[in-house]
Amino acid sequence: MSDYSRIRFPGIHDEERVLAVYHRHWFNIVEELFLSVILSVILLGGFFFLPSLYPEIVGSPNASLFFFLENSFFLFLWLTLFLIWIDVFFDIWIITNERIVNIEQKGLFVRRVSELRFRSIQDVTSQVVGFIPSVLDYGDVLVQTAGENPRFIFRNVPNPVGVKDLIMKLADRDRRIAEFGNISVPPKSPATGA
Amino acid sequence: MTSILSLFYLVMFCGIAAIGLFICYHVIRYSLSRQSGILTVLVFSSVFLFFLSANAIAFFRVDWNGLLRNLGTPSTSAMYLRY
Repeated sequence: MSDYSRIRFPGIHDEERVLAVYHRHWFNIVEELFLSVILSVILLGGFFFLPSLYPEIVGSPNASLFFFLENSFFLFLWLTLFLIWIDVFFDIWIITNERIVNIEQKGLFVRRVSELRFRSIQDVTSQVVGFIPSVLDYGDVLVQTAGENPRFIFRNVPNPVGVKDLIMKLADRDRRIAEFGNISVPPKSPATGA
Repeated sequence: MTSILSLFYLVMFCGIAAIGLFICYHVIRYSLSRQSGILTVLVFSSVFLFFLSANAIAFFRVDWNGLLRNLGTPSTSAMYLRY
């Protein structure tokens, strides 16, 4: 059971309650980091096995150059790994009792925050495409809206059907409040179980 | 020549340190929970500082004058190939 009470994001109101927070699925993050991880393994292999395969490297005057180059590669790799991780992990979708907030990160310098009120939702679709997403249960949730931004997309989130159900329940509740002015208890979140 | 190389390295070093600092700022500023942000910064900065300091030490241990002098002559690696 996740505790979202400590979560803060730009524009949150005092009475607003976070019901669910979604990042991309872990496998999607691993996919993005795959090349960096492979390069790290090759570099580590080089660091440990090259001196035993070519012992002259250790004794030669170029040993310090070899160490410097390898260390530089590790440094760049560590930075690249974190830059990719920031790019992927900081794509966040937050569902509160009032709205959906999408924080999209592109590199270090581009960050887009958009929000969607439940009353402008027209249709919600979840889609899981491919073998691995089917096995690990992750995919996209497409929210069709009447607003300026016609589609709001949750990309590669875990349990897309659960996300779709939660959004539909909250949109229905919002519609009922607008129609009858009857404020009911917010629906239970499948992610929190709260 | 070595001083030019050192100057070039200094610029690179400062650039990389600035990127590292910006990553820390970014993680602290935009993490949804402060606790996880601090933990991430600790993991990142400990490894980053280790690599950065080791890199600076390694740079100053390389005999750049000797290496640059040998640029025009047959390289040591070519000599190893003869073995």
